[in-house]
Amino acid sequence: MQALIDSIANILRVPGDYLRELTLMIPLSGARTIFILYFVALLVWVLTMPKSEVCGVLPGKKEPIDLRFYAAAALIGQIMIYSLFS
Amino acid sequence: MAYIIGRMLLEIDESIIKIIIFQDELMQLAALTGIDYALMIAYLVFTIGLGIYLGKNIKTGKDYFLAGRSLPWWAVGMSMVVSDIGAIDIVGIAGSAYIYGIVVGNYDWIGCIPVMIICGFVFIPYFWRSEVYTIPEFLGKRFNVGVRTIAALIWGFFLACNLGIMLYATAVMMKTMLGWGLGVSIIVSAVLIGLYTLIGGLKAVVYTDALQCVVMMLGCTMVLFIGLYHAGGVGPFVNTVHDLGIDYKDHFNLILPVDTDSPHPWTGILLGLGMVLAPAYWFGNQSILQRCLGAKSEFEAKSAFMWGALLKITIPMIMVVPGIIVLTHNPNIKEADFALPTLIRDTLPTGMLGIFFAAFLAALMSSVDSCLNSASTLWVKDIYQRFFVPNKDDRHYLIIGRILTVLFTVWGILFAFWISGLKDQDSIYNIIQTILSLFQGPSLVLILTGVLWSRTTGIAALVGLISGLITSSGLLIIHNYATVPLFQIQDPFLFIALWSFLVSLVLTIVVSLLTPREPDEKLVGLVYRYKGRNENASVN
Repeated sequence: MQALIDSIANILRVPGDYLRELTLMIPLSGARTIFILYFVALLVWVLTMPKSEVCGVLPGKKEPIDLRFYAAAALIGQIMIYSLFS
Repeated sequence: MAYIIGRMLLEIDESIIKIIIFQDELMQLAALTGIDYALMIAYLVFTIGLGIYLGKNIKTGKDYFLAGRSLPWWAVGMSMVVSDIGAIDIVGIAGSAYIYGIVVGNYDWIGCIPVMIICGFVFIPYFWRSEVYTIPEFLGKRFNVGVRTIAALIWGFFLACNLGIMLYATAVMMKTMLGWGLGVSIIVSAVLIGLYTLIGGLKAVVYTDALQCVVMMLGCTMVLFIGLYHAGGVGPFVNTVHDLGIDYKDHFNLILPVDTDSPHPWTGILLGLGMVLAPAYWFGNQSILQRCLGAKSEFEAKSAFMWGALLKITIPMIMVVPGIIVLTHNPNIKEADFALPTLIRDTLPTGMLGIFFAAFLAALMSSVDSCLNSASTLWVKDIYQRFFVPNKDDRHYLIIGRILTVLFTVWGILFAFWISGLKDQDSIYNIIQTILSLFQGPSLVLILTGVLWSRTTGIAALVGLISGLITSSGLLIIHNYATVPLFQIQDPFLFIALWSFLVSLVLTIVVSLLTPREPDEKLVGLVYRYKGRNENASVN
């Protein structure tokens, strides 16, 4: 049983190590860029959502609320935080 | 039930165990005075009174399980945030931040905010409109009874066991704070939390959670500002930590290299946490989503998620940063989970200590009540009603829900006593967490493909679910038993979740394409922007 487990582990380790080597080649500045791009992509998606899916009126309020504003504020906060702490 | 995935797997399992092991030392740290006790007891009485008051108008199962779909966005948002953060997390996060730095904040930032926004805009509308009580019920509508039952049994098992563990941790902390015996603490905490959950159902859980959120954030913010004051302000705090040496150079870095010694390499954080574990938690966790299903309207449910995401931005500031501040106060604490208690003991004046411990109790209670209510809902709707008594009126399910709440409270007490008698208390907790972690990748595939792709079939979902479970279990077994561990980090849950997700996803897609598509009447209203095959080309 041990031999079987070790054999499977050895087989799986090949692609695993290859992927690890690939990610090791990405510099930390590249990783930071990937994180920021992820938030930026989400921000673009949020801002381009149809109004019908993000606007509504809450009880007690007369004016409709656009949730894109709040989602964008949260994502811009993320972009600032990840820019500051990396 | 904070950190069920991600953080819990990496941090909190150890924190619970350490709190349990070092309860006597913690007791010495908590030198409460009469004013502190008075504040805590006043808070407890008010919370329980509020919960009982809110239960007076409950007439049906819908009132009990979904608060009659009457919950406002602000209460749902706060309830989600506080249910996600247990008291154990307050200690555990600060302890981890003491060792690893601000990277721990990833679990609330990239691990919550983006997925909360996506969930609010993409998934919640379909969950809410389908008028389901549970997420397995939604999966049953979208796929088949097999998928629903497997998902319900896994969640039902987890929630029931987790209830006992949380109750035990709560009792340990009550013993620590109030000096009661462990047995008395278990029974008192179970009865107090069980009482208002039993009477008030989801409504009581959510409104008391909202109160608990305010108290918890107030207590933690107080610790942050007093800690910063003692550290000399923000600038001196940062400089002091940097001056501690090379081991602390990454303490203000959210993104760590792949070969870091910490369990938080950026690949694991981005791919494992950000892309799999966090979405699996926020898109499929019954405890979290049940309060959204009880929101007044679809728009209020969406608003709750945006409000929750905004609140989440502040959480690492008030919970992670205090852990780092402790380094300026005492960089030689041997047990990291004592970092926060040490700071509290040494800096908080009388009265404020009571507020902090009230915050601590708030976090504990919010997790236990959510777990109790969700366990009851899930077993009633997905097991009892589905398989045993399907066609009774809603009042019948209210009675059964209340009976099950009592039974789960008793079960939680017995489970907590059983854990207290174990020599190796961490093993049962680790087993339960491991089982849930194995489920996360395949569970996410179910939700993603179910809502986003009309072509996904019921058979494919079942195949994807089972193959994902086999993959994650297999990887865990190989990692633990191979002569040389399969993964190069100690806790590979982030990567196991990622690989099981990928295998499950590929098989779900392949089998879907090989099996006949589901009829339109099964898809409309459950799949994102799907309006039927005739309009499929333009809308899907």
